[in-house]
Amino acid sequence: MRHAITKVASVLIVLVLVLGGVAGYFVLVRPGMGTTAVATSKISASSIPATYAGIGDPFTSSELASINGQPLSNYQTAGEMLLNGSIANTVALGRANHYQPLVVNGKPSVVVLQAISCSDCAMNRWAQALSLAAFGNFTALYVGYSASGTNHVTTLYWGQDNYTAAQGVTFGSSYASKYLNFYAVDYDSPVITGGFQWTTLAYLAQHAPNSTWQAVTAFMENASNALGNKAPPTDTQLWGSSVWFGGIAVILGNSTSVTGTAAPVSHLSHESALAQISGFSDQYAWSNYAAADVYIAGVCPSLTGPPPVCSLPAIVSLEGRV
Amino acid sequence: MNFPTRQTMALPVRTLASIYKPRYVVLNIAAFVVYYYAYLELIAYQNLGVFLSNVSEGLLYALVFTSSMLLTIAVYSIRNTRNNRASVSATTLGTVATLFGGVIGGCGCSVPVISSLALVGLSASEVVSLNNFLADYQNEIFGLMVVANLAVIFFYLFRLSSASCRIPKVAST
Repeated sequence: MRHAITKVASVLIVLVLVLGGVAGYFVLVRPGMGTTAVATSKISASSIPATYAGIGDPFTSSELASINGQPLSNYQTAGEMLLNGSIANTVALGRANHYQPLVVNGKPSVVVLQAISCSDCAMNRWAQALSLAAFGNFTALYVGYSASGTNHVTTLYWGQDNYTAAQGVTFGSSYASKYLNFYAVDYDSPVITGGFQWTTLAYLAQHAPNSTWQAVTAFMENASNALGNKAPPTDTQLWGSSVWFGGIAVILGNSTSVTGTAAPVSHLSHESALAQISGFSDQYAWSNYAAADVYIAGVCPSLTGPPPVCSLPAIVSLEGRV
Repeated sequence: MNFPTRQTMALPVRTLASIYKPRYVVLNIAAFVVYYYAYLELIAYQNLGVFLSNVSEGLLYALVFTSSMLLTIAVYSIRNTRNNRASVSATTLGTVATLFGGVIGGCGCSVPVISSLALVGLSASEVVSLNNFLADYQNEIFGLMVVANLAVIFFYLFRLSSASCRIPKVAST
């Protein structure tokens, strides 16, 4: 018995030493945050591979029209499908935390803290854009992809992100609404040549361009700490008084039967993604709208004189379930 | 310095062959299935219930297979040898490797289990840095764990090959 205990202890001690060495490397050796980008080589615009075609290009007016001003019936239908279990992709309910809203200039706010390398964020941005479009209008969005090391998921960027620099932060978007403020913060890292990279909210705050953005990031850091999350992940979001740590949807295509690098969203062109979303005739579109409904249901209770989308029966039903 | 002879090197192979009678083949398969689904569940838990992993399938199967081999060798050791040389530690290592693989495989931009390290004193900076590293070197770490499992397998096969480790068979009367 003692011999067995000694054996187990030996194995565990070796494991602890190895793990401790790995952890110690990060505590003692790698300095600070925001300096952990794996790939640091810059890539010129002329050598962008075909799989990253158009990265950073602004959406055309017709592409923006696939997001802006969509019929409320789409949101209602998708919400009904979510409520009756007809959505093939994963759109999670019951994951919101509640916190006080961030009110700026008399309007509640939506804040998204994301990383352009992140596949989770990439899958959720389409739904986030659709939900914001129900309250306002985008005058610009940009072609985006998650990192090659995170399955190269087709997405959009809120601003003109630097997808080649070793690290950085892009603040802002081209969005306007009379109902709410939208604060988009994206951690930039080498997307074409790199893998997943994230940072701390303190790093985001340090690189805020002005006092408004400093206040926004500080608010999110306080909210995260108050909600017991000292190391918030990518896609930490505030929608009115609803806080999500991480995305709420895993939308891979028209089903979730194929995952990883073979998943449809790893090979989807932006033309196809936008055509499906605006066509509203397949699971990819319905799933994105369903996820948008969850975000809408999260923010509507914070709005005064809310827009018509908040009165949709599906949204009203979802409000207590986000 | 004495190098292992061909005869010495053949011993663990013979031991391996003697272990894998049908009942232990079945045990290995069962252990493989349990470990595989434990890994799947750990990954899915960190990804809203969807199995999403950037680790190559080959490495995943290699890790789960070598871990299940360790468990099989442990059970054989308990039932067939004196001193139970491989039993407890082999079981522990195989299980730990699979579970650790599930934690590493879930690292990245989902809500990884690794983020709970903040609750035990790591700073946000340390947790994020560790998550970034594990997410970017998942395949390499899996490869190292497979190599570690194989090393332990061969170690215990050599130990089980020694005559002092065997329970002598009692002649029937």
